[in-house]
Amino acid sequence: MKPLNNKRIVNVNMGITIFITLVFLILLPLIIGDLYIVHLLIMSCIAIVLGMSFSMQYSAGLVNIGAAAYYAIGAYSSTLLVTKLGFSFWTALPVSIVTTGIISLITGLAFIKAGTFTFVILTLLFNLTLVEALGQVEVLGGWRGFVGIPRPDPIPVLFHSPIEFSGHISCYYLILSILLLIVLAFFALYSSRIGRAWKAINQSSRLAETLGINVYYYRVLAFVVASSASGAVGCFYAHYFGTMEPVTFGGFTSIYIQLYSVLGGLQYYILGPAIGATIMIFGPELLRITSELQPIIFGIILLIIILLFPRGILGTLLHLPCFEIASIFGRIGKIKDLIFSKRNSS
Amino acid sequence: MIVGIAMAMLEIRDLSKYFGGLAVLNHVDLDVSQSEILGIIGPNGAGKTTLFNVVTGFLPPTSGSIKFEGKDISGLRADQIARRGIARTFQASVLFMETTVFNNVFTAFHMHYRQPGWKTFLHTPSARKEEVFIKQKTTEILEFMDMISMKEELAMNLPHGHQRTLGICISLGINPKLLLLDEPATGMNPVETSAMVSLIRKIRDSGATIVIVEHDMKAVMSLCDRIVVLNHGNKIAEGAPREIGNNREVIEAYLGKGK
Repeated sequence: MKPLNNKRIVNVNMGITIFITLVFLILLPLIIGDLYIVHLLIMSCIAIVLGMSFSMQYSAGLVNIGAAAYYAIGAYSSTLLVTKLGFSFWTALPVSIVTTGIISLITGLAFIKAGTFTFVILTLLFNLTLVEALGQVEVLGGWRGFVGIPRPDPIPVLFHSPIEFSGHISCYYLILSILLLIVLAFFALYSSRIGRAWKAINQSSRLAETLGINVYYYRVLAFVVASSASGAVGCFYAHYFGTMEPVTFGGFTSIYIQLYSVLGGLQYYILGPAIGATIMIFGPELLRITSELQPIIFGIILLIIILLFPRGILGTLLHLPCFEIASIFGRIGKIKDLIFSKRNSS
Repeated sequence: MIVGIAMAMLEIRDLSKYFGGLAVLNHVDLDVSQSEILGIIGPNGAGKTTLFNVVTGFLPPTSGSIKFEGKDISGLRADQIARRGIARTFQASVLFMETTVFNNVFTAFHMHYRQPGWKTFLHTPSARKEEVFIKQKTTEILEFMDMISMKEELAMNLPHGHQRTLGICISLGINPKLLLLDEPATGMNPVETSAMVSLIRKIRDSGATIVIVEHDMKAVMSLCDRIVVLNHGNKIAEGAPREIGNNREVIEAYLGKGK
């Protein structure tokens, strides 16, 4: 009886937490007058989705170090549709998600078949090659980039002036809704047998196979769902910024995407990237005082955090004894092991 | 004799497996009949685990055929073979280590979901009902195997003996017709071993057929209906436990030839 009761209390708490978080997120731009911070919030939302998509692939035992490729495909396909073919943003969004999905399906089928280690290299190669190729296509602006992508079209509302997306705040609400929809969809997947199959594959693909789980199928599924989500925010990114260049989607962006997940905690597929991405977007801004040294200092802080807390920020917070000084020193002792031996994440 | 009376559930004919030029299994014939407990013994490197890996689809056979319930299963993927009703455990404790005992077994029911994927995704009432049903089944297995008291424990925090039992619980999740156990009693003390022996009997009595690889001779002799002896990839003997215990060739394989 006791465990049942505990579970109910946790669920009530979770409901309250989610409600408060939602209200907070909705009121946030109204509390903050500074439009630059609203801009950073928008960037965080994009980064959170990208991090979540990395984590989803990780949950199925895949390490995608070229995740920015599918972010680029979403951005470029939507830009093409809107500026060259005269689509409205609202039709271009689903079409670009489907386009990203199809391309990720084709590449995923090939990459995942090659084995998990080769997959890592193939995703990076695909990312780098795609960026080089985009730079050569003059229709897409080449290396100079694409300028003048329109903001999302206004939504007409009955008895009210249409909702425009010319300002930061309306864009924030748009990306927040996209983010919440994706979180909801991901949560539904993780709490279903599909998510359990992914976690099984992550922990032991051999044991998963003996349970009748088709490892290849489930990995491709995770890859396609995650890439399509990146495509969706890629589409938003292009229309929000109005300009983009191939370099935006290069290897560095892919590394940032991995950092969002690793910093927050790889084991927490939704909250981990949420915390990691927010810190990665706002962190450098807090260090603005020393503008030239800022990337170096932030880089060193990141290195230290990841070395001392390999579980990520969330993982560490949830295992609170890790805050005890003794165990931090214990971890320093383990740094040598961390560097010289592979972490066993089978 | 048991052999030949019941129709063989698993029929292995002329099965060979080579690693490079090394024959790990050499033209092995093997029958497993309905609801028996078959023991496979042999010195280290005799090819017992390789036999399991070939039968369950983790390694492709070099030649020969494997028939399960009359249908050829050689060359199928491991997950396809699992769906036919063959479960296995691993020699090392291969578990979902970062997951609770309950969720380990809950995950094992993967292939029994009948609701389509989109309903699971939307968490429709029928999909939820199915999940509740499968949670009940999970509890039943944990009660059957006497593991219910530690269902909230993480698998990695369990003592060795319970990890081995959990491995069997997981394999029961697919509701197997044939269960292959790879050294279930390794590293156990005599008390734990005898508890394991009675558990395995209980599983057989509930309707499964069992093939067991084990080094603990006392356990094998008391548990098995029939024993097959492998040595260097060859089948050197087959018969009731008592016959095997007196077989000259078997004793030589284990202890070396005495002159």
